[in-house]
Amino acid sequence: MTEPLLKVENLHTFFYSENGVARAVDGVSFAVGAGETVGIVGESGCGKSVTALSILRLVRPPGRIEQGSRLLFDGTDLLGLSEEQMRKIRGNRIAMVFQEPMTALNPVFTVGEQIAEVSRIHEGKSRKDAWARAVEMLTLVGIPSPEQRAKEYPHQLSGGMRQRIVIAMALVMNPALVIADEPTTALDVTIQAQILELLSEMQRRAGMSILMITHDLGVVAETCTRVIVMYGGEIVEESSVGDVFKAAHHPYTEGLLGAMPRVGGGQERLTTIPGTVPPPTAWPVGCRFHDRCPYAWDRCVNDHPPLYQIGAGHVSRCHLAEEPEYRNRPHPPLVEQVMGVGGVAQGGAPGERENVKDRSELT
Amino acid sequence: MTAEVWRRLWRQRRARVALGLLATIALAALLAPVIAPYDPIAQHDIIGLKSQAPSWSHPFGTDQYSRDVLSRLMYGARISLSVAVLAVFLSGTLALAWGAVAGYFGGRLDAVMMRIIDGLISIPRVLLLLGILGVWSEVTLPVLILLLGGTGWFGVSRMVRAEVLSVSRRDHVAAVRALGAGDWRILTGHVLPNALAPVLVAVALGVGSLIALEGGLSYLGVGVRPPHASWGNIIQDGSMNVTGLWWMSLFPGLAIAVTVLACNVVGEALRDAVDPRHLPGAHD
Amino acid sequence: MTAPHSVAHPRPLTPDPLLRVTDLRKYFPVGTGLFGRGGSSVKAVDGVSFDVLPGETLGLVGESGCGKSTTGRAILRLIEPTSGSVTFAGQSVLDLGSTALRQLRRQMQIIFQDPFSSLNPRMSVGAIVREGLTIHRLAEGAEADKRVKQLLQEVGLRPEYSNRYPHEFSGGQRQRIGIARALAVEPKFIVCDEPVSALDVSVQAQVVNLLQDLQRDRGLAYLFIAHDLSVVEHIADRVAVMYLGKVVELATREDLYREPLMPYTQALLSAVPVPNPAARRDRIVLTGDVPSPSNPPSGCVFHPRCHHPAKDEACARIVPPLEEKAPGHLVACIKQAPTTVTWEQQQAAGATRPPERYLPLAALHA
Repeated sequence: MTEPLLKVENLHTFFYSENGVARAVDGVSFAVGAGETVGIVGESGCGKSVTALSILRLVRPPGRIEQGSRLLFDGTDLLGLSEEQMRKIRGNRIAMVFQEPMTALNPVFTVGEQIAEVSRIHEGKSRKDAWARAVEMLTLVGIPSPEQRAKEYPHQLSGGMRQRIVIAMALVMNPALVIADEPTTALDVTIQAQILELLSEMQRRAGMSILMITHDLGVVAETCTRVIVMYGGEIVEESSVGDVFKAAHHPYTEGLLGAMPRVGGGQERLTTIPGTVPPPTAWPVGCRFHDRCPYAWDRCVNDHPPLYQIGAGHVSRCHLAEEPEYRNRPHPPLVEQVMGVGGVAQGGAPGERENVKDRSELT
Repeated sequence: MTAEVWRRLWRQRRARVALGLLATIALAALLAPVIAPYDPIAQHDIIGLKSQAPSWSHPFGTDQYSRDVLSRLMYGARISLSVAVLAVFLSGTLALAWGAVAGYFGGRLDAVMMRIIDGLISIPRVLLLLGILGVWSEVTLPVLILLLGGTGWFGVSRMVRAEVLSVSRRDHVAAVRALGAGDWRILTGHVLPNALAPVLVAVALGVGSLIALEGGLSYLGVGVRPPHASWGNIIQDGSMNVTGLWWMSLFPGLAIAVTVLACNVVGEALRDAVDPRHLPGAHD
Repeated sequence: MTAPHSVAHPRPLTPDPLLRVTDLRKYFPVGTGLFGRGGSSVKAVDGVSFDVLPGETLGLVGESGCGKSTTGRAILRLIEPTSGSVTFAGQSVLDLGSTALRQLRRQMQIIFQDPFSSLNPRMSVGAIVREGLTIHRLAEGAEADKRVKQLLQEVGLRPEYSNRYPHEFSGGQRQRIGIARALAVEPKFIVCDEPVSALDVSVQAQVVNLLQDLQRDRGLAYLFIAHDLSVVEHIADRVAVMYLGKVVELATREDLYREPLMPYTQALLSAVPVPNPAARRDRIVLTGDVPSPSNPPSGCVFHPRCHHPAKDEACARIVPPLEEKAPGHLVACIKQAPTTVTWEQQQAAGATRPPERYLPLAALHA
């Protein structure tokens, strides 16, 4: 097998504050092959966005990528590069598409200027050539009358248009890897469909790899070949997309799938995952999901599970892999036993837990 | 002011120092009748003790009428501080009422009220005060406070209005309206408490600038008038001979400078405490 | 231009509706000067009519800017509507004076989307929930304390939390507090304005289940506003779809998801990503963006983006009435048969293609 394009090994990204050390990403390893689309799913606070930022080394203090982490991109360890060398990679070999296109664009420059700037930085193109390239990119991402639009400012465009601009900026240099952090979360569903379509078309043309960060399993199902489920700063399950939807192994993945209302799914009661995501300063010992898990038994309380091999290319961080009989004995999870009230155990403790879509607190 | 804001304020060293200074000055003013070494108006020996440089018996010297400058400074603080605090209290109240009504009710009322503010704000305040005070020779302290307070609230009212406008649009305000609360309850119970923070900052900064303004006016002889001592008119007393009677300008000048500075520091620290996004030292 | 816009009420209903909204409009002036002259207006809500029956959930879906939230707030007069009528339990809401309106508000409540701005940061949770009790003099003193604790418990929060402040809670818990605040005055009807849109999926499920339990226990009626068609399918009895300030389709949940007839609804349904990689299917991808509500397209507001095979000139000229295509299934489209806009009328407006029943597979979810 050939070397994957990106290999993340043992990534730890911690945030240091007076409330303690937040272990936002706590030992994450995965690979993205050339031309592949890999999804990272999880709820707010699971560490997926910090993982994305870490790969580009955009984690700002008080956050820090810890010693021992490795980010092998095309054979080089990104963590060994100088900031100068890293800048040559960002926007060039690895590009990022953010959730909120309005804040990703600079309001005081026209969109044409902003796209042109990318090729001026990385290729030293002349103003005129860079402009021509910008217009070409706008055509490519399906913006009508691109010469006109290039002269407009971000606020003059709709949300969907802006996201197309952001994608155009990301693709100027034909990057090998595009990291898309919730690229459609801020968009309406019909516009989301357009943007997902656009991304996969761009991928067909340019053959880049995509790392898709999202909370929406539907988006994963429609765009990805492989999926990584994160919880508590760790990977809890990784498999092909087909396996995860057919035969999810980890109880958290199972819970996520059950909690999702689906079109055509009628009105059967949604299963919930009781409780909330614990704070990254105090991950539970043992399995990090044990207190919310309907199958947990005494082993889960103290024994932190490794990633077990479940099948070909399918791993799960759950002791059920060794003792599957416990799956037949569901019970109210620990948080509910403690509380007696559905789903609100340990609530009200400091700050945010489960969380809203605003992820700014992590950046 | 919530306990949380107070805690964040107190955590800043500069705020603790400034508050300490202000407390000392205020205490000295408050206790002046007890701790002042001399009667501030008494002319002890108009011949023998006039215009004495600082000494052990008169640490800040005496003026040309042989009055003790330290005692006058302490009594002057009572006037200067209370004029400033009361005037700022007045302008803060006016600003709050005007801005709250304009911002909360909005629409044409708001437009008219804000145009009035635009008009008032275009009049240079110092010239206006000089004009009024210069013509009006019998200005008593309450009138001075009314004049200072009544001309100092225009900018703040605009700030209050902006804040009230933005708080009024929040969903928690819509929620109490939907519960059936009346305007008065909504405005006083839900809007103003959330809009108060910038007013407090403005008040802290305002006390400083009013002390400076009163000092200036009194120095020009149109502010606090004799026999009342204020920091401004003590300086004025010595102004005929600044180099010869340097202690008469230096000490009250220092008192003004320190107080104004302390007020500004408290104001800025308060701003940071209210909104931690403000970086220390960031202005406006 | 030929067919008058239908303002007649959609259909006679057997039970008396709890809420009846008729031809509701809200135009926001834009670019007006000091004296309100010389501006155009944004037609945020442009002639919306529907009923909500006691104890039922009407879903109101649409994309951002379609006017769904404005509709919800205009019904409660949190925004004053420009025209139309709203009747709640026999009372004409828009004609009430301020005192009577405040009385009526006990019966009509609202839950908001944003768990941050919807709670007063300076009030304890107990004080927030108690506010309604105090305003309507429902309880005071120890009795009020007891009620607040019961309410917190009912929405799944620990009663001891009543002394804490909103910032100490997570997004889902704050939504529960907002629900308790609304329940305090014992309403019959709640406008749920995207109450789960800002929440993570597992928490969203908790809140959806809570809303359903409360409806069952208290017989509440909901107007459930959302952009997420899957949540709406899960919770609603009937669904109204809005586009550019108008209701373009209104049907029972079963009918709407089984047989969406408005081409816009079809596109909306087909755009929902399906969490099943085996079921990847064709999709109707709409071209372009939603036009600006300050200058909506003529005729059918959806015609510039429409994919109906019989779309023609007439669609740009005739404002489609919201009319019954099947029993209880209202659709605003002159090209979906049957229609009350006759073929002669359509031809007079330049039609070249007769109406036909069009239901692409891409719009259906197995």
